[in-house]
Amino acid sequence: MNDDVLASHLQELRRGTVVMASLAILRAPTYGYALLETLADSGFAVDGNTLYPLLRRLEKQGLLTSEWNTEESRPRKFYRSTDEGAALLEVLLGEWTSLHTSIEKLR
Amino acid sequence: MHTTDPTQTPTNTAQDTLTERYVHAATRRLGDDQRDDVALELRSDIADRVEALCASEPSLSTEKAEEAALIELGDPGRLAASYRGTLQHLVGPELFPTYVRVLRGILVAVVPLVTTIVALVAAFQGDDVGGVIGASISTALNTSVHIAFWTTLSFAILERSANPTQESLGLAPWTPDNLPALPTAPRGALGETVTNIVWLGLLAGFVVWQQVASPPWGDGERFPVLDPDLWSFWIPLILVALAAEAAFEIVKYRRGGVWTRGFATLNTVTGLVFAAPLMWLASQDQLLNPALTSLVQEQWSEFDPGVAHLVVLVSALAIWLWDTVDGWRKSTQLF
Repeated sequence: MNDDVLASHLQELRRGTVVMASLAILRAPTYGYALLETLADSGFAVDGNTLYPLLRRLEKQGLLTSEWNTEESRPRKFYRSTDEGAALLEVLLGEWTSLHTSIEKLR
Repeated sequence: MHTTDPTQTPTNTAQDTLTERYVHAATRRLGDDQRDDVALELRSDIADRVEALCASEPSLSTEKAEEAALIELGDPGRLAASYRGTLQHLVGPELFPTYVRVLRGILVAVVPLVTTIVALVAAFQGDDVGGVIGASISTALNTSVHIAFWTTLSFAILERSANPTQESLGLAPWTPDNLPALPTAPRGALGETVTNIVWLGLLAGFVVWQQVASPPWGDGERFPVLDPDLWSFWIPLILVALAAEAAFEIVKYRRGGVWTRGFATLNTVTGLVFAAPLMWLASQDQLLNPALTSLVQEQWSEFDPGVAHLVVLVSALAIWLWDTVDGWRKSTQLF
């Protein structure tokens, strides 16, 4: 298979999973750069270019809250998922499982 | 966790570092409500990146690490657009099909019409052939560019207004009736269309050529075959008729090359627009250039322009009749 074709389909498939992964990680308060690194280590390669605006949107939707922590060497903005965010993650995971089951049945 | 908001206190004044320039580029068009907050978060991200890069590669200088960190973070323009949530395209996939339909519709309806009118006006004002052709070409170009620009601008604005739909634009939603007819005989139809257009082009080309570039006669003077006075009205009309016939051929092909009664009628009319001026001029002995006629008569005294005109008249009538009957015959075969 053509590498470009494979890459574009994988990217398409992974698009929505960044939100799920972020909501999962952010059950514990985390700041942007650490979140990026955790995501990358777990195989969700995402650009800062994409992640920071995404975090803002999720915050605007009430799925995340943020707090500035000025205790350390530099000020950092910590994000944490809200109850609503946790609920959304459950719904998305349910959908994910049912999609997987459906695909397996179709094979 | 300490929760004072650092964006509320004025932070260190901006120094001219790569980081500050990057942060400025990424945040300058953001609203006041989020600019400082985003700037601070970006600075902290960049500092984290620089730290991480220096840790993984100790030989790296701070400047090089800063540069690498910014490259990692990517184009600040994209980042800014992404924060603002503004569109990155002029006309998106929702509106694009409608955009293409509208643009094509206006171009096809307006450009030939305006060009024809301008050409006729120029011809009436007694412009020479070059002037008429030049005016036509520049009009066609200008009109097309204007239509394309204003249509695109309108759609770009629509794209940025709230959820435009086909209905809200006053455009009928797509229905299966919009589907083009299947070509019945695509290969034959294409061949017929191309052949007819090439003939029409050659005919138009001859009309222009005999005026501007016909080979010189004996003593080097050029004599057009057709009376040059006809350029004031009749020849432009004939050229427009030829263009109309070519347009007719294209439309007929685009509709699947099927002869309908409408096409048979249209064919009769466009054929008449071409044949009628020719027959009229021939019947009035006004078609041939009198200067050329007398020149021919010097060498061939029996040459009678009346006979030549009669031949043209009869041929034009015969071709028009044959073409008309052929069109109607093909259209009635369908029913």
